[in-house]
Amino acid sequence: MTRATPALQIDNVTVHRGGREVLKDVTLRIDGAGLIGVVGPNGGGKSTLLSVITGRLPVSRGAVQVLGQSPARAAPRLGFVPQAAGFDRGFPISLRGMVATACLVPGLGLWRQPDRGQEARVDAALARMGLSDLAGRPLSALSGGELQRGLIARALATEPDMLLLDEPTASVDLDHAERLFELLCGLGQRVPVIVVSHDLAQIAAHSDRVFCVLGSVWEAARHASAADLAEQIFKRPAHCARREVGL
Amino acid sequence: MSLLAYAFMRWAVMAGVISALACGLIGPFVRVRRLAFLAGAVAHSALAGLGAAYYFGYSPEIGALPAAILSAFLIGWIEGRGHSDGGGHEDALIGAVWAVGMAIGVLFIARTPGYNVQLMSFLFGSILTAGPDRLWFMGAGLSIVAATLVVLWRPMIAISLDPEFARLRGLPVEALNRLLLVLIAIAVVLLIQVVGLILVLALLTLPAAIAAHWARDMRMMVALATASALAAIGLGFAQSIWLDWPAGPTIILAATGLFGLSMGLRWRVRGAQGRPALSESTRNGS
Repeated sequence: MTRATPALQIDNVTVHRGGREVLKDVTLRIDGAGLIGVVGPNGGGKSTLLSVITGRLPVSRGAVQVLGQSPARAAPRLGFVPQAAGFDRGFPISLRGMVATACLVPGLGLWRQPDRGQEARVDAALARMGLSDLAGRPLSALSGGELQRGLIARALATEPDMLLLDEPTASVDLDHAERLFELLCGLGQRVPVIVVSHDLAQIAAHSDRVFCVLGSVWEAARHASAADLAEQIFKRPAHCARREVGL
Repeated sequence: MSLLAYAFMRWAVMAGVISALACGLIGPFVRVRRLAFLAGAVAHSALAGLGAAYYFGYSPEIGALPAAILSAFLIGWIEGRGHSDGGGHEDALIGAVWAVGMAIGVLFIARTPGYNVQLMSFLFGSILTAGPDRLWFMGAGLSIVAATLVVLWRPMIAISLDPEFARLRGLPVEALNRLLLVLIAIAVVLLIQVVGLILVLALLTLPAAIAAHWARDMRMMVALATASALAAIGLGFAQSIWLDWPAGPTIILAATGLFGLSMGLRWRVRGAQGRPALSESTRNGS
């Protein structure tokens, strides 16, 4: 990715799901590193926006460029972190085993064992998330916060050019949500980190930019408080401070 | 004279061992992917191919295998459409495949003159009828299942754990899913030889359920499921000879007994440890 290539460029995108228009004429641009918050009510289109970026959902109209490529081509360069709350903890695998699934590469690499470099990447990702001591534990023995950090470690082990997180604080308490967002801030120093969250307080406190999603997408004013965000997305979205994004 | 001096007993034991290995390899995937209903539908709809082969004068497994693979693909497609549409009614359609497959099989059987003991053994299982031909067929099927899983072990685990993440990594999730369905279909046809298609579902689920009580990872789960299946088939088979009961149902009851034993032991171990450590730490983030 060159300096001129935006990390994410979405132009006039409309998306239909089940015959319903979920996103309409969405335009946004993210140039480089930083913590980007995405907020909105349930059904507003946050998850649809994530699915469009990861190439899971085709757009009905408009254009999407992720890291200068189509979403499908850019997908292996994305570190996607799902909700820990929705993850199957009953799956018999250790934390390290789960993180090591990041080392799989398509094609002939499918049946190769991980090499030393890949093993080192897994260990480094676990250490970075403070999980080295828990590496051998099965998923069922991890707390919500530990599993969430494990899922971030798995994404980091892919050495992604962009991180996408879906509700990372949904299964952790207030204290751990704070720590998790501090970690994400650190990661946001190097790559764009896009966080979809209902946690308006954490988003307002830590994000460099915040996008509100309610069918359409607009950027909240810089340094908006959680109360401002709540007012924008739940009460008077039409009256929020809109401005052209990425210009 | 030992019973193993008889060739048919040695063949039966070998058929049991092959079946236990097939259970141990595929059962854990059926469990973690929650595919028990699919496996049941595949087993029952295999009757369509089985009946057709019988009607046209071929060996039943020649019809059962393609029918099982075809129905596995059909059911996989129905499930895939259900997920993408969000309709949520795919279970009804899978149930229909289950019943239609059986209906076709029953019609073929009804139109075939005479009464065939071999066919009944496929319905309810008859480990004692395993001969060299059937053992070769079972051995070949098991080799395909085992070799595929050994080579593609890590990607199979990855797509089972988190298909969306695997897709983003560029793994051919759909192709691997279809391959897993084929392996399940092969395993089902192998197991039909021992317990019959009516009872095959229990052998794919109970040993894996026992293994899930104790296994910390999938390798351990495969090892424990294989051991449990061996124990269930061995115990059931021995008891069926001792009591002169049909082998298939006795094997299933033995597997059920082992499952109950394992569950009781697990409660006891958890009780001795006090509050289970696992759920204690999952309540809050830490």
